[in-house]
Amino acid sequence: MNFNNLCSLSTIDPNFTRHVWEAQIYDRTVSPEVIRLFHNKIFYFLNDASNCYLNYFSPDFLFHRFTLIGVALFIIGIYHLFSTKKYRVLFALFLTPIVYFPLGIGTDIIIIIVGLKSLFWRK
Amino acid sequence: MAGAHIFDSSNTIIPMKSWTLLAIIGLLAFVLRVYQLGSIPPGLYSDEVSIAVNAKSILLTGKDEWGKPFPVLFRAYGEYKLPVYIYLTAVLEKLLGYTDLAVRVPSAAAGTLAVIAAYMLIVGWGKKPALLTALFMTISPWHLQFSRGGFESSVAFSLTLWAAVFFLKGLVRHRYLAVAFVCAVTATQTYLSARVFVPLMAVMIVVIFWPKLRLSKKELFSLAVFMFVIIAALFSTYISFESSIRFQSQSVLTMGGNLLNNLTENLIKNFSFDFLFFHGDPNPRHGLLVMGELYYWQLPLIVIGGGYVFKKSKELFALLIAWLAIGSLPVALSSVSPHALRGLLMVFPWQAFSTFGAICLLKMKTTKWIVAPMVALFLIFYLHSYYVHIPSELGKAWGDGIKQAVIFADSSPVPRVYVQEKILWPYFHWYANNEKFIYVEGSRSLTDLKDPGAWLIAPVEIALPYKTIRDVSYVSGDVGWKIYEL
Repeated sequence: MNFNNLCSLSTIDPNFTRHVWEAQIYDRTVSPEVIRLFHNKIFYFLNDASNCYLNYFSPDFLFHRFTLIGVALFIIGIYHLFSTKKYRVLFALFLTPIVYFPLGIGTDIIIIIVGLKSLFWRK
Repeated sequence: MAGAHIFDSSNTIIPMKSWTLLAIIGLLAFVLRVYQLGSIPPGLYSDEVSIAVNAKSILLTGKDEWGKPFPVLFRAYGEYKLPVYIYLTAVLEKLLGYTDLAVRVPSAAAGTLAVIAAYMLIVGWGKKPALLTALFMTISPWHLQFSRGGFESSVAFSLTLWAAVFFLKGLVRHRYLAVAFVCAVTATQTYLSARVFVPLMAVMIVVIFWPKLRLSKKELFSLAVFMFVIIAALFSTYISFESSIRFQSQSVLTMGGNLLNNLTENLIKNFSFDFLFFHGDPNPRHGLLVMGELYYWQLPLIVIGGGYVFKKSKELFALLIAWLAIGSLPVALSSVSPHALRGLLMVFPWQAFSTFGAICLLKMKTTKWIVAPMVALFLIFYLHSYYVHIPSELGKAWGDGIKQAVIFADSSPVPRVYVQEKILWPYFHWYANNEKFIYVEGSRSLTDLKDPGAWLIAPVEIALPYKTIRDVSYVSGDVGWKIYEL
């Protein structure tokens, strides 16, 4: 797994016109409305950007970043934060990919600590 | 939630309204799986055509293509295919004739039945979750992809689900346990992944449900004898060298490097977002490449559903997670990962988690107005990609063009047709009626052929100094093969 080149806005291929054109080549038999619905610049940008954002939460990325125990604690931490309705930390976590450096860094570590805490320091 | 026990559908009485809705979903599942089945995906790929030829051979002679009478393992290309799908295809060929459609119908039928089985498995938790699971299975890109091709995995998956359904029925009416066992064993005779999944899952389910089984000594004894007889009859097919050839050639052991690292990486790749939600399996026959094995909208549903199930029933959560883990094992043990075909057994728990996530969201009145259009939009995008883009963009991977070339050459009066090795021999047996096709061996140059009047079929990429008789195009219109006169 290669995560050396984590995607960001700068790594998204901005040549959407080419993507749209390539996709439309095969759509000769389809009505123009359908072509425009699925093959437009907004669609391609949103698709690429959301893939890029969500990659930071993908299990293969997390396993690359943490150990198996770390991932388990990460999941426990998220569950704990959800169940105790501590949404601010979760909000920070979901912000992490957008502001990965320097604001977001460490949020995932905090979640792991929360996971540890919920396991061993229960009231 | 209506269900008190995990997957407990044994005592559930299904009302008429649910049957009607299930029938509608079942009909939708059937239509999505059989519409233009013979022509999309275009052409039969190498395994499909091998299945077709062996089934035809069984039907005509009672022997496989290598002359072995009613085999329990089909030699095929040398990888030794499991028998169930081939015999099912033989039945379909008897009914539908020797058509491409006949090879794919067993898979499509099994896919439709899997939708019903998914309903039956979840109905213990209520009618709404059951119907939603059935609906999600119906429109699942992962499941649709393999229900619309001659894939043994689809039949094995369906049999596995039905084994689970009959097992749950068997908790109340014990005779169903034998049916569950037969379904499970048949699954292991259909696709190799099931040989890893079924025994492990069976042990787990039996352990969990053992207190509810309440078999008398007589019942236990007769069931054990029944199981022993079947396993003993099939034992050689599980341990023979031939049955392990495919596994050995594709095993994780062939990857080199650190075994544990390879295993872990293979396992995790099955859960990567890129595989599940963004692009899917990179093999063009295993997906659309433009979307994942699951829909985008299933991501939040799976997260919410996972939390919901964990909160409501640790048992169900553990069972679904175990299902996913065991379902990913066949892929982890092989050298190619992720692999949507070998991991098809994982489809069900993903749909189940999505269902419970949807149930949570649908409790809020406004969300249904967001979720429903989104589901519809993604389904339309999937269908558009499948029916418009697949034939044009990925047709080559399905063997598009080979059928046209072979049929054209076969219908000509020319005595001999030389063929480049890229076209595997079953294509001649399936699409052509005579033996005029001759392979040009790898060592022999295509430019040195000396047989005036004979033809040659070769890929367009190879420039050859012969007169072109015909350009054979893919569905996309691009020329893929050329037929030359020597």
